[in-house]
This record gives sequence, C-alpha cells and structure tokens, in this order.
Amino acid sequence: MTLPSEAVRILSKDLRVLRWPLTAWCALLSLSIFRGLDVMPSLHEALFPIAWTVPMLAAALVAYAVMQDSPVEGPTFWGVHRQQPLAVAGAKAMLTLVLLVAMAVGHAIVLASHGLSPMQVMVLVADVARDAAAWLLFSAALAACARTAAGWLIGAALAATLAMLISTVAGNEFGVAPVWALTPLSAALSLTAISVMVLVWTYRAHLTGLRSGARSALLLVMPAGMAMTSPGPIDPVTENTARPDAAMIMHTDRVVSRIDRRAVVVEMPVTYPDSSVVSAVTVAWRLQLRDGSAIDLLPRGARVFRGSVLLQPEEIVALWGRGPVTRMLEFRFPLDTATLARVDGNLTEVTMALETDRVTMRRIASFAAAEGGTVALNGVRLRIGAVGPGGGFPMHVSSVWMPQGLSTLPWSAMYIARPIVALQSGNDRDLRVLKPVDCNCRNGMLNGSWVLPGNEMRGGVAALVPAGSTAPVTGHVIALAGVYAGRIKQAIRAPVAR
Amino acid sequence: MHVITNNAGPATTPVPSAVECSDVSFGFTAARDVLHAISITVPVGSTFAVLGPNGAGKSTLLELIAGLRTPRRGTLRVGDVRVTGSPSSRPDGVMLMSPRAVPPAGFTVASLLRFVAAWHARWDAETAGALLQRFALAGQQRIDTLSFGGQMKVQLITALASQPRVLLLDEPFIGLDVRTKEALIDGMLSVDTTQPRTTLIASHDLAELELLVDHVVVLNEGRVHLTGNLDDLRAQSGAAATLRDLSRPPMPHSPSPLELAV
Repeated sequence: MTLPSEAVRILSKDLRVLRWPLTAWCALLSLSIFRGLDVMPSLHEALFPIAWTVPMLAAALVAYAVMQDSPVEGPTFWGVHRQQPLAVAGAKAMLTLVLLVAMAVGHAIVLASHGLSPMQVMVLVADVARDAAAWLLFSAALAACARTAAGWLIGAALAATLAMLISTVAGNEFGVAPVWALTPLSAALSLTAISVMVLVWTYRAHLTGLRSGARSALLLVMPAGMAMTSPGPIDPVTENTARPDAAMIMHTDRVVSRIDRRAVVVEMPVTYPDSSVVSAVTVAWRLQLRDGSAIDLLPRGARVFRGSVLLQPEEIVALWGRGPVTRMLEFRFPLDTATLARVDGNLTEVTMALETDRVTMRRIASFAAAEGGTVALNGVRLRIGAVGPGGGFPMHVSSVWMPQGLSTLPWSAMYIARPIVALQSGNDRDLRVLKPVDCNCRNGMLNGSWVLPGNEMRGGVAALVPAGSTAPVTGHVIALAGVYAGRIKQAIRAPVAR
Repeated sequence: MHVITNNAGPATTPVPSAVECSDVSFGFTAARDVLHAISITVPVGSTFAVLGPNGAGKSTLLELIAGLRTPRRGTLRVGDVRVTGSPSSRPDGVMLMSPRAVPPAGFTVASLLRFVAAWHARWDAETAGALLQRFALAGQQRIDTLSFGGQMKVQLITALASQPRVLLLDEPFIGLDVRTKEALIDGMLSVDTTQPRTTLIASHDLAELELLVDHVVVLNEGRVHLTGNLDDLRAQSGAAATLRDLSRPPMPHSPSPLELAV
C-alpha cells in the first residue's frame, strides 16, 4: 500500500469509529447554520451555545481520533499492524480537513445569506478555515503528546488560560505580547506549522522511542506556544484581507514648537494618503536639539490602544477622502523644568516614529443625513435618529440595529460588516468620518455600552465636524467597510520652523 | 547459525536463530533500565516462553523484538534484520498480539479482518475463516460487544492469519477462563503453517504454556535468570525448582451449569 492509500484507509476507519459522534456534530453544525440564517429569531438566544460548541466538539473529535491511535502509548493497534506513522498522522490531518470543510460550508451558507458577495464569502471563509485549522491541529498535536484524555484536557485548559492571560495583557498599554503574535496570518500559520510538526514528530518517534521527558516538555510548551500564537485574542482590525501598500506614507514638511505650561507643544501638518484609515499602534518621539543631543519621549505609554487616537488631541484616527488629506496635529509633552530649559529655543528637528495599521475604506452605501434616514448593510441596519446640535456634535444620534444572525459570523466578517458612518457635507473632498460604529458582538460597544445581538444600539456618534458648529448638517451618511491593508512602520521627520 | 545455551551448561546444538538478543538493555527513562543486558537466542520454529513475575520486563522484551521500541544498548536481530528503531529497520513478518493493542470500536469482526488484511502481504483468508468457525465467532458481531475473551480470539485470528514468521504473544491468556484458554491454544495448534513459525509467549505462569513451549527464558527484575530448552532445564535441579515456582497447579476444570444439569 502506498502512503496516501494507507492514510485514506485509516481515515475511513476513523470515520467509521466516530460515525455516531460525527453524526451528532453534523446535527449541531446544521443547527448552528440554521441559527445563523435567522429563520427563527425566537430560537436565536437559546441556540447561542451551539456556535461555540461546534468548533470545540470538532477539536475534541480530532483529539479523540488521535488518542485512539496514540503515538505515545506502548503497543497500539496501529503499531502492531505495522501501519506507517506518517500515514496515521496524515489520516488525522485529513480528518481535520473533513471537519474544516464542513464548517467552511456552514459559514459560507450563513455569510451568503446575509448578502455578502461570493468574493467576500470566499475571503472570509478562508479566514475562518485558517484559524480553525490552527485550533484543530493544535488539539490533535496536544492529543498526540497526552497519554490520557485528562492530560489533553489539562493541556487545553492551560492553553486557554494562557491565551486569555496574554489576550488581556496584549490589550493593555503595557502589553508584552510580541508584535508577530498579533498578526492573525502569521499566528495561525505558526500554530498550524508547529502543530503539524509535533504531530508528525510524535508519530515518527513512536518507533524511535519518545522519551517521557520530551513528551512532558511538549505538553507544557505546546499550550504556551499556542497561547502566544493564538488567533483568538487578536482584534479583527488586524485581519489581513488585503496586501499592505508600501506606498502609503504619511508625511509632513514643517513643525512648529512652543513651550506652554511646563510642556513642549509640537504642531505639525500631517498629510495622509487618500482612501485610507490609519490607526496608531505605537508612537515614539525624538526631539533633536541644537547641541546635537536628543530627547526621546514616551518610552512608556508609547503603545496605545488599538484603534484609538495617537495622543490627544490627534483624534483623527480615520480619514477618508479622494486624494491626500492634510491635518494639523498638535502634540503636547509635559517635561520637567530642567529638560524644558534644554529644549527651549534649541529644538531643531522632530521625529515621530510610528507604527500604524492601515485600513482601506470601501463605500458600500450612502443615505441622506436626515432624521429617519435608514439603510441596511449585510443585515446591519443603520438609522439616523436625530440630526442637529447636541452633546457638542452637530450630528447627534445614529442607531444601528444588528440582526441576530450576525453573532455567528466570524470576526473578520463582522469587521467588514461594521459600518463606519461618515458625514458628507459640501464637496466630496470635505468628507468627514465619524467614529466607527461597532456593531459586532465582540466589540459591540457604542459609547461604552455593550450591545447584545438583536438589539438596537442608540447613542451619540462622535462626528469630526468642527466643535461648536451650528451650521445645519446636510449631505449624506456614507457607510464604509474597512479592509485591513497591513501594518506600516514609518518615521516622520521635519525641521522645526522658527 | 547460533548456539542455544543453557545458563548451566556448555554450548550444544547449533540451530538457525529467529531472534537474537545480545546484551540488550532498555529503559523508559534515562535514569533506569527495565531490561539489563538481555542475551537470548530463539531458534527458528521454536515456541519460546518468556516467563517471569509482573514487572520482570517480559512485555517490554516482546515490544523490542516487534520493533516498537528501541534498544538502548546491545544488538537485537530478528532474522537478518538488526532492529535499531528506525522505520526501515522494523523487522518484517513479526506480529505482536497484545491485550493493550485494542481493536478499534465500531467494527464488526469481518470488517475488522478485512481492514487489517490490507497491512499484511501474507494474509490468509482461509485461516481467518477457519479460526472464526473454530472460535464460534460470527462475522457480523461487533467487536465492542464481544467479551474480553472474544476480543482476544479476534486478535489471535488477526495474528495467525497474517502468517508471521515470528509471532509474539503478550500474556495471551491473562484474564481468560479455562475454556477460552483451551480454545485459544487449540486455535494456535490448529493452524498449519507452510513455513516454520517461531512463537514467543510472555506469561507469568508456565503451567498454562506447557503444552505449547519447548524453550523458556525466565526474567527477573529485567535480567535473564535462566534460559534454554525446557526439557534440559528440568533435568537440572536448580532450574527445575525455579520452573516449579513458575508453574501454578493446573486449575481443575469447572463444570458449567449446563454440564451440572446434565
């Protein structure tokens, strides 16, 4: 028998052994799809656990299949019958593929039912499959190291705990997670590659004698590796659905500085490229002095929350327009008296080194900025509740109604479905983007309030319209979909004008 | 050609060896060996009892011979193949029957035999069919509904039908009632092989193997206590005493309720 035919034969054995659990899993998957279709909204909440149960059970099924043909047990059925270790490992990988395909089909059905285009469905299903493959193969690799189901459970619990811990820390400005671990593509691929290597190695080592010490080490290292590379904690904003555009550069040509109330204030006009949103990840400053020395600022606190503004008052986290847009940014650095004295009159050059996520925006709908104006986007309904001055913003209230089914969508789909409400007034170049309205479950916050699926979110949407303006708002509300276009590191350097 | 030796006596008759262990040591951890410098030679066509108390290293020795574990030191040959632990050095024509190698659930007896047959080039379907009849097993019976004895019978069928040159039976009778033991022994004896088959049977009870074996090795705490031809060893007073210790008195045949009623 050739290796592939042997693997297929072992896979058929696994499918036979698992036929009843697989039947139950398929039933749950069907229920999950049914829930996603929003056919019976009344059942939506009741069926909520199923959305999580399906992938978890898939991981358990793969683990069970591996432990049935364990590579760390003594004489096993596959071992005594001289099945090739690579064929057994290949069969487990193929079982993973079977489950992945089933889940991908389910996701595709749900996504298509919400009006996403075939291309969007394809991209999103690929995202889902990528992450799910990483999780399932991790489960298989963990099972290959664990001698018992209890060992697998402990390893999985450890991995989940570490992942949550790292997720929490990574969301903090003092986060320690490496940048590479925050890129979903690299994280998923790393986890997948590590898992496949461990799976193959443990099966091959079945013949050469896997030392129990090595197995124990793997049981500890695998969860840590999984947690570090886990796609789970990653914010959907980093979903890599488009290639980075290296040409995207923000630039400035002059800086004005002054000393004001025990702080150095730097003003710089920054020109952004067109049709994009940037969101700072890290920012660091260097103030070059006349005597050749330099002052580095913000060694701490340079990391800012993803999606937040750079620093006050540069709240222009998102810009959208046809053609480059220039905004005057102002930064304020409180310094001690001695440092202020050094800087005063001696500042020659300012360098801002920053790492930004770029999101290209696509206009997916527009509707009149008038009370009651409404539009539906991929199942998300936007409605203008009121237009007019209020709370400091000319356009006060918008609301977003999220359909029940969206909670079953993958994060990346939610992000694409997430509308960014833009207020268009005057000519097209003067388009201004309001703060994004989150309407997904994970980040389902509008002005600090969590929104449950099926509810309507109400609240003020910050409009980047000059504060204090009393001019009537006219134009359109533009709904934009953001597509992540990569992370860019760049340094903006400019001489200080006198 | 190798020489069979009794620990107590000089070299006698040269015979071809099916398995030859020379100073083989093995341990599950680096700190402790469970087999220490094992040297035995198993002649072709012999039926070899591997005896010893629990934890003596009997099963481990069989797993080493099957190529499922790698010797830490020494040389292990099965036929002309030196077993080193690499997949390519795995000896061909060696079959291990172990109670720990549990057949997958969800199969019927017949479907399991079909599944297994694909991995054995010399699979003999006729032998499998004959043994099924002898053991009164139906092909449509599900493996997971069989008793432990029934499952051992199925394992023995797969082992014998694969026509191995070296058959390794790890505690084949453990936990079985007398009738099932007898059925298994009858089954083993009934298979007529065209080529000489060497059989190693691990057990802690010589009495249950006496009908089958002609050579023995007695292990104690991972070391060879004695080895050689069974008849020769019995002729030696020290060895005979050891063998007596390893032979429980045969259990009386217990009549079944049906026999009592008759």
